[in-house]
Amino acid sequence: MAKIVLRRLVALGPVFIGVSLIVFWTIRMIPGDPATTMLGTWATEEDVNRLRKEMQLDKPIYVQYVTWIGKALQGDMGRSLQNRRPVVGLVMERFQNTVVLTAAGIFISSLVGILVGVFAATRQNSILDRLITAFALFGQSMPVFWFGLLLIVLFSVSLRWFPTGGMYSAREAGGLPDLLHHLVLPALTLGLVSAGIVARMTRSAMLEVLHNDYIRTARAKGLTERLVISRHALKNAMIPVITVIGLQVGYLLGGAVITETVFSWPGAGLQLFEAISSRDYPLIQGSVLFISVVFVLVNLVVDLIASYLNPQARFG
Amino acid sequence: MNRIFPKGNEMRESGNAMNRMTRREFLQAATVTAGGLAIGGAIGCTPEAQPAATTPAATATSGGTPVPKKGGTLVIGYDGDVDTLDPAGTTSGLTARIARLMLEHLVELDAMSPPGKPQTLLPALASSWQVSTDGLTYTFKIRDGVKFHDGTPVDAEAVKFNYDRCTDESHPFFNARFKSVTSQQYRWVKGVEAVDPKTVRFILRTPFADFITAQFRPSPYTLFVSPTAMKKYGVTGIGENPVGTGPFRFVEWQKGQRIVLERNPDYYGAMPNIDKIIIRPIAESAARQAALDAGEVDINFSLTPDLIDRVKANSKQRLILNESPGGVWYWILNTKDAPTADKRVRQAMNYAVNWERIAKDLMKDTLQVATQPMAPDNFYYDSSYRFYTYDPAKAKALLKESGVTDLKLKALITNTLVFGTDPLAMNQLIQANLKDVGIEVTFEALDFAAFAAKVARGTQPDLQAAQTNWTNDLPYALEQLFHSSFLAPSGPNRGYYKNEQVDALLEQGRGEQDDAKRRDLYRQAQRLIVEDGAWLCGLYRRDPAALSNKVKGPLGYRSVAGIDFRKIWLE
Repeated sequence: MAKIVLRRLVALGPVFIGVSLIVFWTIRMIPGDPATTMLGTWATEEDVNRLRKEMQLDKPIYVQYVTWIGKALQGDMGRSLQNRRPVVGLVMERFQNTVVLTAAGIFISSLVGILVGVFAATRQNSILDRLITAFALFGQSMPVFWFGLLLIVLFSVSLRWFPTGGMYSAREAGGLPDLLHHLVLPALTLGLVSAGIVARMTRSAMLEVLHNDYIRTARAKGLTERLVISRHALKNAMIPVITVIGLQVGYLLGGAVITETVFSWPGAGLQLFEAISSRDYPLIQGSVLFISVVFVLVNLVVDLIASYLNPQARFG
Repeated sequence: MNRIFPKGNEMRESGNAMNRMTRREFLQAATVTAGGLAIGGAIGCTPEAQPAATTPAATATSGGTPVPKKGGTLVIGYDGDVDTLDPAGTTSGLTARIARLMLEHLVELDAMSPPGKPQTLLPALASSWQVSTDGLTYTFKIRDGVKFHDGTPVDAEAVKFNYDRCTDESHPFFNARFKSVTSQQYRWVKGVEAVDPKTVRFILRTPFADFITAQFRPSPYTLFVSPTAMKKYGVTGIGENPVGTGPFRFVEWQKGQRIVLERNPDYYGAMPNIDKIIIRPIAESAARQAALDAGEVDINFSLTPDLIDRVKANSKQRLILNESPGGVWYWILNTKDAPTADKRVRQAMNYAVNWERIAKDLMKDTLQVATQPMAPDNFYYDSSYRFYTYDPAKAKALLKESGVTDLKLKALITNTLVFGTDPLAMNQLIQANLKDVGIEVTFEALDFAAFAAKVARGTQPDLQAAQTNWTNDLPYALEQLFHSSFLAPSGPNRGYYKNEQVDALLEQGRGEQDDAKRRDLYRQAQRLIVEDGAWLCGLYRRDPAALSNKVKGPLGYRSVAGIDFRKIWLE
């Protein structure tokens, strides 16, 4: 076990370098640079060049890369070109908010997905099963953007049950209850879309497990259906499901940009989107690197849990 | 007609609608969803027969002028967060707008100034000023007893400090960014002297009759911050702790969530009625309008055209338009390379476009047809002048005369919505109009950053046009755009327009102290520019915004400054 962990952590190194190379070079290949973006369309060439020099963009690209990666390895990801604050601080500040949103989204996604998936699997080929599968597919294909706006129209504007966006109330920044109140709609948006995937995975995993001999044996032994499902079937079915949920975490962490935009949730995804729009190279690089490292770590944890649950992996 | 959103407060007696949800209300809500499914949140209603008010209804109780109510918190929704609150640190108009609440200049331009005359100048931090006879020296007397929000006095040294930090490389707080951002606004100033604590002098390079208007215009990057605060917070920190002299002072900034300002109890001028202003960034347009609908914000300052009808139909809101169209939208035309190097081709393009249709039908009168570069309420505008009208026949005749056939052009556009325009739709209409007279236009559409980089290089042999915006309250900008000394890529004359007559008129105008003569010179210059077809123009922006009817009082919604927050109040 420890060997696996160690090997995966060591693999982080090449991942880090690889991602850094890709993000560093690709954003510089897109037309547009931070200086012209910052000064707008009416700036003179002289102003732009002066600013470029101050941003150290006049040096050759490989020099810029080496300078940056050298500092990054020591933990200094540079400063945002827009507001000069250290990138590490900026990303961490916003990442906390993304974690809150992602955690809530995963919670909803897992709860709804697993319950619904088990429900469908135990009533295979019934009308309910077909309906659920259809809804799951629909949920999975729903554009997050559209669904989020829909929820706002219904629950915020019409019913006034929930706020239209933000993390806290604008007028009085409240504590935990205020946060939870603001969390519902964006978490639902993220969660329900993701729940579709989890539900389908759970359903197929459950179906596979339910057709095994040991289930037949358990039923023959006289166990209630509920025990059969919860004690025998579910645990084994969970292995692939947990892997999928783990992948969802990665996806939600990095891909919550759209939800964050629709709900003005001040997270790292929205920050990255804005950084790309203004070509804030250090912030883009720092954000992407950070998200990739987190993604790798999360997958590591998920794999460890999955292998713990799987006796075959644990005991050889 | 179905009103998608319920009228009045029937759904929200006490904010606890959950307990009072009847079956009918639920079905109503479900129908709303069905409607919402069709268009996904941004729905335009057919407007009821309600005039779109640009001034609030009087709340007179006893038939007299309405009495402002004191107190309350105003929440404003903008389309994004800012990077810094120091206007010298960024060219973002949003930063300037917010910073103006807290920071000021020596002179203020009167938002209530009558159109057609030079804009009235009001004392702000300066109590009086004088110009030397040669027009090169402006001397300002600083108002007595004004302090920055941190209690430090406003004196000539403070003014000089603010100037030097943007221009003097040896200044301890100099920054290349400050210089690049403010260089255009300070370019005519040779130096600033602190003669004595109450007297400050601006020395110009050449006489510039419009100097005060240009230097202290409302969309400035040169507002004054407290030098003490600058020393305390540093070059970057000042952008997160702006300390000025304005009617509101900075309280806090929770990044991505809100900026909080409170009334400055020591303000020397007209004391604001409201206690607090909270600024909320909401990036998505439909969500921002939803926030206004739900009462979470009181003003939606970045109203997109697709929501206009909905605002007009909502009895609890009103649409406001900028009184002084503070910007013009047009296409830069390549005057250097064929085929647009031929004046007749450019004129033909101007005759070919039906601007009225774009302004009225597409943009619902939130844009106005532009007949000349300067803004309609501007001193230099000539309301009797209009050269081009929609005349496709004339366009075709001109093209035939020029001998150019099979005309193919490429135009650079950006799809980033900006300043109440809808570039994609507008450009497509122009493309259709041009096609009708035989000109094929293909677009190169880029996001803003890529667009800015490309347009900076100016039009090229393979790029005949580029969409652009420009703030047109100052004739100095005519120089920037049309004088031959500002040719791209070193300057903003991106179409490489060169006309010696225009050059001479602009140079003369700049120094001419006599108002009537100066106006005449600039009008002549504008006529030449328009008739030369130097650009494909265009539309004036009216910057539509949606206001809750709770907001009362004279708005002074004029130019790029936004509204005058000192005068409004909340019901």
